[in-house]
Amino acid sequence: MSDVQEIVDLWSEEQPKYENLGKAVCAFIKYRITDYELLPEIQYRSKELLSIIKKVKKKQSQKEYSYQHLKDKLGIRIICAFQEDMAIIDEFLQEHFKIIDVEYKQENLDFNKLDYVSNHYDAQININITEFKKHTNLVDFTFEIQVRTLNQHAWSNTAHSLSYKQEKDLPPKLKRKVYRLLSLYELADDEFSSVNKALKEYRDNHSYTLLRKLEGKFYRYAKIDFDREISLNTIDIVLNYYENETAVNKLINEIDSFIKINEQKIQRIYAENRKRFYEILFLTQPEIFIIWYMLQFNPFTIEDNWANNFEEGDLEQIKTLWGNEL
Amino acid sequence: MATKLDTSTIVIERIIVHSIPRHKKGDFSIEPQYSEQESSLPDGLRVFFKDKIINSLQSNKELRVCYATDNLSPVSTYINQIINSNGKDFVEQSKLMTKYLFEIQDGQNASGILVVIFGKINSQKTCIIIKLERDEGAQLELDTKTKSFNIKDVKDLMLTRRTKIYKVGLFVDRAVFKIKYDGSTADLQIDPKTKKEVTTWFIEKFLGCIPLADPRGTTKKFYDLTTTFIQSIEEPIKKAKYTQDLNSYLQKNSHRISAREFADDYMETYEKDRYNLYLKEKNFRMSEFPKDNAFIDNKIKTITMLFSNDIAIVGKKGTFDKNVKLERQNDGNTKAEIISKVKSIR
Repeated sequence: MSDVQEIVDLWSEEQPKYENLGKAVCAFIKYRITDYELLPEIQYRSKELLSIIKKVKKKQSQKEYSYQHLKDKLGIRIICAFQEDMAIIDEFLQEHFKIIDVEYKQENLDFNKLDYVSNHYDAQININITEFKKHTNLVDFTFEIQVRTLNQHAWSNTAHSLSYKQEKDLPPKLKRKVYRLLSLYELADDEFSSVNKALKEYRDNHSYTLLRKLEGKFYRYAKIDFDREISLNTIDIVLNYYENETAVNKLINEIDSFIKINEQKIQRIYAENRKRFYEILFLTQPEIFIIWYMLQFNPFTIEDNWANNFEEGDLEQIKTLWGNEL
Repeated sequence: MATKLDTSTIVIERIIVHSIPRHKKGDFSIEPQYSEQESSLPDGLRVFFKDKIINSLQSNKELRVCYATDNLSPVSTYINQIINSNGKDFVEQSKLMTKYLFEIQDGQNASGILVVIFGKINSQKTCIIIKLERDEGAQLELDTKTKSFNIKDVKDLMLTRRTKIYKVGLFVDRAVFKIKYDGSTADLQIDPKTKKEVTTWFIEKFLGCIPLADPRGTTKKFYDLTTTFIQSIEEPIKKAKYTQDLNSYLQKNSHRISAREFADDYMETYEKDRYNLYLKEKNFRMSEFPKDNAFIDNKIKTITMLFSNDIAIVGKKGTFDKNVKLERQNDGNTKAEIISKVKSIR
């Protein structure tokens, strides 16, 4: 009982700190991961007291174990769309956190085994990162970061609801069913990845091609999600302003370098106007880059046609944000 | 290398407002209402003023200017003092500007508000002057406690029709930017139909500035570049049309012209963009400049169309398109039809 009381006392003291840490880490990842042109879902939770007690007790029955050994008192979960995003997130975490230990579950699986395959990191904040400098009191707190795809997340949640663990001795027929299901999730992840890759290289629909080119860049600067239907519709319209295909292809080929050359400017525009996104809705959609490109290189094409489809004031606003050279 | 002044980098650090009442020339029984200290500027209003400045300087009325050495206006001295002192003498110098404006205004000038801003452009110091003209009924109240005007009242005035559109001047230290001009101005009240004296009052008389380039040279450059661009068009009928259009444009009764206006008035959208890119490559700006045809007068009075069979048609301005009917033939040739009496043969 004294063990339990000790855990209760320790947790009542540490839980608010872990909660603060969770908030800080979560906010940091949400804000900075967009620099890597991703917008994954990010969650955190500090463990429930009862869950801590039960876990310590269970582990104690197998080995020497105490409250201090527990690494997931705070858990951060990053859920991304595609398998290939996990490597990018790995790079991000290695860059910005002190990684104590990492487990790439996929790597530990034999070819003939199926299981939930996420990446787990035991991590601490890196005090050299500006955003963490004020959290010196939390520097020694270890927490767990789980990175998984949407499919892995779905599997994990469903498995949890079914109280399923592979090591449990299930009747072979049921076990086979579970394996078949698991393989579907893994296949789905692979298929989503290859479709994603194919779509990124898809060239038959200009609007779609452009949107795929722009979405990551948009996350980087706007740090929010956007409305895809509005984007595709707007891009369709403005591309139609061009009188020939050559100009459209030129735009598609040059938009990346246009954004790169103007990176600082775009960053500044977003930083200055983040609080008034609601006033400038175009700033919350990736097609803004296309409009800025056109204002720079084909101003008459966009200005002569704009009023047929949009409010004139909107284009004025977009032009004002971009400024001009005196 | 010269640094390009990018208006999107403007940062407003300090702002002060003074009020100039309408008065008859030489009547000094009334005085300007001076702020004794700068106005406080919440973020929302900072963005508002930045947007308004960019809006004006982005317009077709934007003009690069230099301080005229022989001009009587002391405003350039006050501007330089603000920039060089890093805004230290901001309040005092802005009051001196207001005093000068009050002295040179007469009964014809409407009541005005002078907004002086110290800030940054491209991270370097800048002084921005905004002059608003307002109706008599639109009053500004000086806060007796802070001895300054509430900047929100100025915004409200700018948003209502009681304040006429404004004039803006943005100035920098040209040495810092390695540029040949001192700033840019935009006089949004300029109307091609108004007289020259009125159009340049703010820029010349108050700010003491002249356009960066000699209008005769700028007009000639505009003519030469536009002509070269027109010559690059393959379609002869279109080429003839644009040539006539250019001549007409240069001879219309207007004191200010711009490549943008020419493109907008006469060209097709696709051609406009090509023209814009061409002028950009040649470092010629699309915005307005004062017109002076002195160097091109002879060139724009006639138009000559030379055919590959060495036959030429020479016409006077404004008469060519009425008297020569051009028609494109299927084989790529152009048919020209003139129905008139033969006057002489030389």
